[in-house]
Amino acid sequence: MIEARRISMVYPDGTEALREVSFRVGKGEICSIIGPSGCGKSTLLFIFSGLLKPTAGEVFIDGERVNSPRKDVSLILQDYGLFPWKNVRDNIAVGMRVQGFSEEVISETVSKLIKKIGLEGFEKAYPKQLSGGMRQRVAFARALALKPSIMLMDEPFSSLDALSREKMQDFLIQIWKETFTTIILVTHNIEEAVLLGRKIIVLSDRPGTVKEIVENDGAARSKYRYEEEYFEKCREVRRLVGLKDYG
Amino acid sequence: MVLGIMAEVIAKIGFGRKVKGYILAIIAILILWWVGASLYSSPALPSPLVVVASFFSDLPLLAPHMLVSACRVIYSILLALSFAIPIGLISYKERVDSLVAPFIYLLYPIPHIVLLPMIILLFGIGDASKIFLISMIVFFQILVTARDAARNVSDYYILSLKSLGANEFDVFKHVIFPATLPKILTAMRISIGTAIAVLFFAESFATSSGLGYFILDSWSRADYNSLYAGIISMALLGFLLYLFVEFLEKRFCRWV
Repeated sequence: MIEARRISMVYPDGTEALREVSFRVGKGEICSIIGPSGCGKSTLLFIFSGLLKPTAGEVFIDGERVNSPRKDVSLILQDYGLFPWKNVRDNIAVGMRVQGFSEEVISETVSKLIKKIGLEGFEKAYPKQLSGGMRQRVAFARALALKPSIMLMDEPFSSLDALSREKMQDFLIQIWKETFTTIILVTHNIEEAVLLGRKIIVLSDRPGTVKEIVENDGAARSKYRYEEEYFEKCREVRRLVGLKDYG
Repeated sequence: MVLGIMAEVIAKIGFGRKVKGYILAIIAILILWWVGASLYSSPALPSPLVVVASFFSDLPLLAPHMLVSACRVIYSILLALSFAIPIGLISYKERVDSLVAPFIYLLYPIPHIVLLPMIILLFGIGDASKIFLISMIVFFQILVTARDAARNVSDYYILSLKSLGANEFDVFKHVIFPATLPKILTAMRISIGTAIAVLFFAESFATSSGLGYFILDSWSRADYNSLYAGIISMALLGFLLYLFVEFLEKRFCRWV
C-alpha cells in the first residue's frame, strides 16, 4: 500500500507545486492522477519514487517511509526514459544490471520480455529506430524486468497516436491482470484516467491539492470503453477537472 | 592484425563511396603537387613520382623511425586520455566542477609548448619528456571537451537510471560515459593532429630517432627526396590514427 501524508512541495525558486496532498492507493490497485498541466502531477510521482524529497509530508510504502529509490518501485518517465546509446536488449537489461542480477538471469528474463512485448528481431535496434509505441513497450519491459510491486508512470501514452494509444492501454491492462502490480499513472487525458484508474485522484490547479477522489470500480477492462458507466464517469471527471459539460 | 582492422574499417565506412572519395582526393593532391613541382622546377620541390619512389626505397630506413614516432604519439594520447576522461566526466557533478573548472580556466590558455625547457629539466631529454609534452597538450584538449560534454548530459537520463536503483558509479558507466563518447572521439580526432604537430617539435632536438629527426636530418643533408618521404610518413601516421578513431566510432557509437 502507498500512502501520501500531507505532501507539500515548494521548489527552491519559490514555485509551490503541491500543497498538503494526502491519499492512499491499495495493493494491486490501478490509480490515475489527473489534473491541469503544471499542477504538480509529475512532481508527485518523483516524490513517490524517492528521487525527490517533499518540503513537508511523507510517503509510506507498506508502512516504510520513502526517502530514496526503492528496488520494488519502477518509474517510467515521460518520453519513456530510454537511453539512446543502448539497444533494445541493453535498455531492458539496464535496471537488472544496476541491481546486480547475474548475466544468465538477465539474458533469460530479457529474452522472455522481448517476446512478450512482440519486439523479436528488434533486439539490436536503437530507440531512434523504433516507433513511439515500440519505445513505450521497451520502457514497460525495462520496468517489468525488475518485477516491481509498484509501477509509477508519467504520461505514459501522451506522445502516441490514438490507435497505438488504445493498443498500449490494453497492453497495460493485460500486464496489470497478469501481475496485479500496483500502478499509479499520471495523465492529463480524462478518458485515459477513467478507462484505467479504479481510483481517480483529481488534482486542482497549481499548487496541486486533492480536489476529489473518484471510485471507479469498472475500470481496467478494455471493454469498459463501450459501456454507459464509462461515459458517465468521464462526464463526472470532466466536471470535476473544471471543464464545462456540454453533454 | 593491422590489415584486419583496416579491412573492417573500410567495410564499416562503406567501401565503395568512401574509398572512391579517398582515391580521387589522393589523385587530385598528386596532380596539384606535380603541377607545382614542374612549374617551380627546383630540387627543393621534387615531383611526387620521385618522392613516392624514394619513400619505398627509404622504407627499410624509415620504418623504425615511423615505429618510434607512432609509439610516442600513441603512448601520449593514451596517457592523456587516462587522465582527461575521468576528470572531465566526473565534472558533471557540480561540486567536482567547482574544483576542477578554475584549474582548467587558469591552465588551459597557457601555450604549453613553452613549458618545454621546464619539462626537459624535470624529465631529462629522453622519451619521457617528449611523451609528457605531447600528452599534456592533448590532455587539455580532451579534458575541456569531456567536461563540457559531461555537463550537458540531461538530468532526465540520470534520473531515469537512478529510479532503477543506480548508484553514482552506475550513472557514470551507463549514462555519462556512453553519452559523452561521441564528443570524446571527436576531441581525439582533433588531438591526433595536435599530437603529431607537437611530436615533430619534440623530435627536433636531442634525439636520433623518430620521423621528426628523420625529416630534420634529411633537410640538413639537403636530401630533399628523403625529406619528403619523411613528411609523407608523418601524414600517413596521422591518417592511420584517424582511421582507427573512425573505426572506434563506427563500433561504439552506432546509436548517433
